[in-house]
Amino acid sequence: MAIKTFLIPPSSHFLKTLANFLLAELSFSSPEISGFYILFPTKRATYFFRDYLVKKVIPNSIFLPKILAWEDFSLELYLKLTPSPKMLLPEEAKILLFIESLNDEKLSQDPRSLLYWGTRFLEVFDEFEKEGKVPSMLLYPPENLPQMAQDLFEELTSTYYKFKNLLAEKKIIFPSLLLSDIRSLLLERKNILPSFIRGLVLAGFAALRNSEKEVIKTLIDTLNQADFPIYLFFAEEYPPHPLIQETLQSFNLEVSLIPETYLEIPLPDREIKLFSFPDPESEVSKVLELIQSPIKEYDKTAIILPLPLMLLPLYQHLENLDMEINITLPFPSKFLSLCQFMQLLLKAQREKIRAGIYPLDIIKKIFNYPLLKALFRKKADFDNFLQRLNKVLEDLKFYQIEINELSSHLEPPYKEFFKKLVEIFLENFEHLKSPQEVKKALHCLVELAKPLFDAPSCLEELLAREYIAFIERNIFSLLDYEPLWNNFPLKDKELFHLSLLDYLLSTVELPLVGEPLAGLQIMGFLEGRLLYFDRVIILDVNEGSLPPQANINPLLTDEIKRYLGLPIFKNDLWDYYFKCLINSGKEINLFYISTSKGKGDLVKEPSRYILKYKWQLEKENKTPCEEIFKPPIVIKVPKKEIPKSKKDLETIRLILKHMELSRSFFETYLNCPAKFYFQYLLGLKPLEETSITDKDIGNFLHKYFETLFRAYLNKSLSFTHLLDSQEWKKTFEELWSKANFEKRLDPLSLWLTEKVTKACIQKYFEYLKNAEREELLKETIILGVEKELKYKNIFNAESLTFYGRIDFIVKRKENNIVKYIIFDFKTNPYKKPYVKSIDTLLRANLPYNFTKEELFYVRELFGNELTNFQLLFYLFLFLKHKSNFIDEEHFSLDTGFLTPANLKEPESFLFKKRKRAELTQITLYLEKEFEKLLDWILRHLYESPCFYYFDEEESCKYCPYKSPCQNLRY
Amino acid sequence: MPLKFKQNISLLNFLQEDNNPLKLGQILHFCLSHLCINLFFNPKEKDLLPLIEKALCLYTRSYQERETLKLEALRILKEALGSPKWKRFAQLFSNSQAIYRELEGFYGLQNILLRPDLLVFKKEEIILWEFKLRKSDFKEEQLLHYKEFLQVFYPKIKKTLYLLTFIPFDFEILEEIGGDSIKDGDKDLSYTTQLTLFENLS
Repeated sequence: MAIKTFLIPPSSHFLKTLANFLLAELSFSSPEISGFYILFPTKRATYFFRDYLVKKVIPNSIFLPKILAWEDFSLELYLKLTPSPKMLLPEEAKILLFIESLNDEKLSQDPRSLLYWGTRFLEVFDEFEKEGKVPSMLLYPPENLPQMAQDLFEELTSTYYKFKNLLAEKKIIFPSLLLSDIRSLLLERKNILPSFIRGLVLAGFAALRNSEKEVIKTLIDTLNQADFPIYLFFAEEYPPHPLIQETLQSFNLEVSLIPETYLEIPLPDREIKLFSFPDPESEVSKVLELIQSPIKEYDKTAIILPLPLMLLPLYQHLENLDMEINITLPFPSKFLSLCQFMQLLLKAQREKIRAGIYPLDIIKKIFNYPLLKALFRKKADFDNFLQRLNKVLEDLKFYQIEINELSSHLEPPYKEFFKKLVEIFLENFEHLKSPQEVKKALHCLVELAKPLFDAPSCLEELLAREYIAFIERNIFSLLDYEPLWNNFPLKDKELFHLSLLDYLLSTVELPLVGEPLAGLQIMGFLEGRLLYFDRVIILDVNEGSLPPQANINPLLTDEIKRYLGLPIFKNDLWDYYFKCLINSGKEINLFYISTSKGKGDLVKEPSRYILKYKWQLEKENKTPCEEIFKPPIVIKVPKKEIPKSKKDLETIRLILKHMELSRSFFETYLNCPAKFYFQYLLGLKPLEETSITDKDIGNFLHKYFETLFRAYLNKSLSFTHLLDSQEWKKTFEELWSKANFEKRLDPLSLWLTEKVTKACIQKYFEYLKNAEREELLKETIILGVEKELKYKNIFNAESLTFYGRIDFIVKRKENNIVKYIIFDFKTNPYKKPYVKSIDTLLRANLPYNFTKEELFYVRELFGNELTNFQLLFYLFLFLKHKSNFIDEEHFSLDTGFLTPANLKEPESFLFKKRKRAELTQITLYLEKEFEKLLDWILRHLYESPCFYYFDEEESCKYCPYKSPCQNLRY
Repeated sequence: MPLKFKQNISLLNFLQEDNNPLKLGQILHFCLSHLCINLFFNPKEKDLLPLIEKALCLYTRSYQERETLKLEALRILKEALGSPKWKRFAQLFSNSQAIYRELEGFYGLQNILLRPDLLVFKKEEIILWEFKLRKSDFKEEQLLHYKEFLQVFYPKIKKTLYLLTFIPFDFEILEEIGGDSIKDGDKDLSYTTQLTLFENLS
């Protein structure tokens, strides 16, 4: 029987035309047709074709032939031919056999390097498999390759044979090697082919690799000899593309156009529209416009995604539509949050192996991973646990920690919960000495995650479920299969297991398969082959996407391929696919992003296919149908204020009534009313640092002075004695050891910090000792340490409380004058009071209005950054309680900063060099007038119509509420 | 209404989604069909194992699952072979002209695709086998479409519908249709192609 070969123009609707032809040529009313194999390059084409075929015969009934994708046919053929099948393992297991083929010297390499180069060499092997050849050695490999790669090239043939021998010895086969085994099996058993294949249709294949050609040729020859019908159909016009011509030549076949009577669409009826966009966001928004009507039939609209990652923004735009969709594309696992979480766990283990202990920042990231909360049914309980854990971490501020120690800071029930999670996330992954242990660790994790993806309702869940299925199906299988591990050289290497797991988890592409057919079709570029739709929308028709930028394998450059005798493919195949695609619908919408400014990935150019299409039109004096979307120019005017609602006013009233109003309360409002709104009205808590900062060293110094001075409370304190007796040093050492700095700082920082801190204290005491020696300082009495002072007042007929916690209240005798000093401790060595602004304050009149400008005016009275407010506020409280502290009739007052880090001037005062009369005026002001000023600030808070944004570059830069502020303003 | 995914989702192993019974049924079906098509009714364990291995390649990718399924399938098949009903079962295939496993058909009146487990064509009878792991898995409505579909092509040939269960190995006639016209012979067949088919196959 003659072999029939036809071209079917893609614009005629390839699959329906094929169905027309086969229904006319073959008998479908006999069960014999089930021996007829119709093979397509993709599964998607088989689903569509089967459906078209049966729809064409309704209401009649038929028997169906075998309609298979090449991939499924290969497996079926292998199983028919082999007397005893080998173990079919997932592709991921290949790397283990490759590693086993290597010699000891290469096995001593870093596992990650071994896995990287192993994968690249497996791709080289694959190329040879596709060509049906044995790799030849490369005696002079490129010198720019790492030594390991060069060595492997020199031993390519022997490594390949070792690899193949291992496959045979362990009776293993991989999907990608099926064809190689089929070729061997056909040599002996091709005669059984006619017993189960009684006719063959090869539909829509284009370029074939040598090994495929060899198998197909054997099939054709054998079936032809048995006189069974054979048909080949190519999606192409006449004359055929060079690629197809080459395929035809290799089978020695003549081709003609399919008779016109079978064409589903006899005359091409197609419209191509071009759309240029400034960014992906506007690109996917336009998609939404084009598909708004409900899509009832599966072959109405298709969205083709050359870049699978575009699925995510596209889905975000589609998710609220009342519509059914099929998604068919391979999605890279590394973008899934579940995958990233697992990688984080593996990173924690690698760090533990490196440093011997878990880094605290990774621990915090693990437990705060957003996905984790979703895993627990009682979200509030998990929130409480997390808050408690974060508080412990914030308090400890260790840079690394033993888990048991961390656990000891938690109390039941959090402690038990934490231990369980630690077991699953950390302990199970420690000391992975065998594949069974790897599986156990992974299994526990998967079990924890599964319920979340029980009934996927969104894309992320669907992908995560596929990911878990991949772990169970592929990773567990290769971990379970003992022959893979029996002589595996690195099977007891913990670091290798971690790297292997990382490699397996993050390099997979999850195959989403949209079946049963329904609704809107979203698919990858190759999945769209041979299909036809009313409307096709192809996104990202850009350089780099179409033709795709292949993953660069440094071992398969054109130069190396030439040396190895491998064929070099340019973009011919993609040219052909693109040509077919733009003929595969009535309306073809080509979307591309065009940006000229930017760096790296941000620059997008239209694909060469767009340019080619435009050029062709130009030659024909035609104009392309093109829409260019410019980025909309949006001038964002930031809001100036947050309106104050009735509810806000009530909240303010309650705050004033129940809170003790500290200096920080006032300072926050004066600094920025919007910040006050976020902190006090919304209760937003700024993120705490979990690593040690300068502030923590400052806190230590603060704590040191507090402890030392508390021992001298209401007693005379001699700094000369303090230094000479070394008492200061003893207190320092006791406190330093309690502060656990060795766990919070690395050894060098620890050593430096201790030296500097100690020197600051010593220098300060020496400064005071000198003052004693020069009789400038005759006596020091500590009257208060961390002294809490309160003062009750009335505001809007309700009582309120001013509150202050004063670092140190000191009484000094200087030159026969008794001076009372309010000290505030500061870490910043250069912090100094604004001496001059006191005069402005004394002269100031309080404004009548409560506007932004008025608040700004009041704020300025306290100097830059409100430096003086705290000192004056504390002095005001001190004066309200002066009878508790002051015995003398004549005394002097001052307030200032204690800055031991400033070695030259560790104390600075607000009223330095003030005359006695001036001091009296200031004291009177604080006793009589300052309260009015506080009252004015509270009144502003209460009566101003809104919370103003104080735009100030410096303070906004470090504001902890930057994010909510930006969100609310724009 | 939000977007609906219309696609198969992968089954997970340990989440009340233990699909082993389904896969076990598929494997047993594959093996038994193979034995029947080749009229090989007294296989040894060494003959069964490669068959099971082939079925496993088709129906599962999980090694752990494979090992469990392999042992279970072998045990069930051996029990079937040792069953007192096996001989009678084998006899039902005598004189068969063609046997089809999962012959796919489209029943146009109902617009549905059908795939009966095993169809045995004899000169005067068509036997349709429905394989189930257990009797409780069987749903009678399945048969209705098969019956109507075969009736379209072979209205006057006797059709016997059997249910076969693997656990325990047993089979029974569910329904017998027609038979009166058997005597009329081939000339009454509605599709002429069927004649050539039988000629070729015999």
